[in-house]
Amino acid sequence: MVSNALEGVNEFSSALWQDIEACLARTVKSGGPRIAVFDADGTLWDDDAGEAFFLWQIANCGFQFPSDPWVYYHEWKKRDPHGAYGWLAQISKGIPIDTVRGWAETCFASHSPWPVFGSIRRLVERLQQAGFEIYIVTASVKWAVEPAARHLLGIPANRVLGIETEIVDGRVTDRVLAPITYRQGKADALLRATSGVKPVFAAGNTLGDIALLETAVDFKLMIQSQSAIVPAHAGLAADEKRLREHGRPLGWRLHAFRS
Amino acid sequence: MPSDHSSVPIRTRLVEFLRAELEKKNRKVPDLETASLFNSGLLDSLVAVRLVLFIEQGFGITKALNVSNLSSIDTIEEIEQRIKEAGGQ
Repeated sequence: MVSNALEGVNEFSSALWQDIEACLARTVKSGGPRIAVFDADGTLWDDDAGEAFFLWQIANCGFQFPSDPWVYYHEWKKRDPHGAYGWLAQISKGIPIDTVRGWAETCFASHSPWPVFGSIRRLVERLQQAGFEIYIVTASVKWAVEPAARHLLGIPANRVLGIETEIVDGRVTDRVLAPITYRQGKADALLRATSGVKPVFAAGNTLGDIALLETAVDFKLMIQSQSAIVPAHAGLAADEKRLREHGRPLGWRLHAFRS
Repeated sequence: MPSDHSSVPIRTRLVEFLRAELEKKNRKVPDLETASLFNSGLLDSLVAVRLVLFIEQGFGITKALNVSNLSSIDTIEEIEQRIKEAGGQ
């Protein structure tokens, strides 16, 4: 794996590590399935892999876009996030999937260092040592997340569940596959991949991850990637705050990479 | 996050943010205020996404910024201008 940890953020406390270890011990003792799931952007790393790939595609792929594709996407996302997330996969319509995956690899390689959270990487490694199957469920385009998942966390492409379209004759189409991995779609996609087996552990950072965290039978970890002092209008920080407001009364654990 | 020091000039906050991003890449740019950021390859689209988030959160901007063409926000002056046009403060 590439060593690429993000610096300058709060790492997991020893109390949190102890609670995680206790969860692992309970799981081993129970003999039950060992499955863990993570959201990607803002949970595994301090950035948005899907949007970074989108910007990279704008600059490098010669697509015919609306005059300002970034604003077009973000304004669409405010009205209809499911549609906007799907569009980021649909823009590659007609391109061989191998080419798109190659672009994603090139995009990943050109972004150094990739801002993966150090504590998260150690947690993933610990779960892998304990024999867990680890899934990533993301509202980003699946192909954009696969390289970082594989290179930084050792998670293979078939365990990355994200927005994708039907592939016909090796080429991307504009038919977005259900479920759209946002909100309830995240939980649906995970449980379909695990044949209904619920994870022991789940982590996410926004209200879009509530349904995903609710699937976890033991440990629900809320991640705060943005400082709590940013203005209320701020999209990501506000979405993270809404998750905390939902999870705190339910006793979900919280780790704030930034206070 | 810069929201608690909005009295600090836009340019100062931008320089602070970009210096921190460059440090992550082990790069020091003495003439940062005039440097080509994206066209030169100094910064990449991953940083651009963080920059957008930083601007939206730090300067009170609610409308999506036009960053589709990174060449058009290649210098601190150009980014500062874009923030002012969007009503940032």
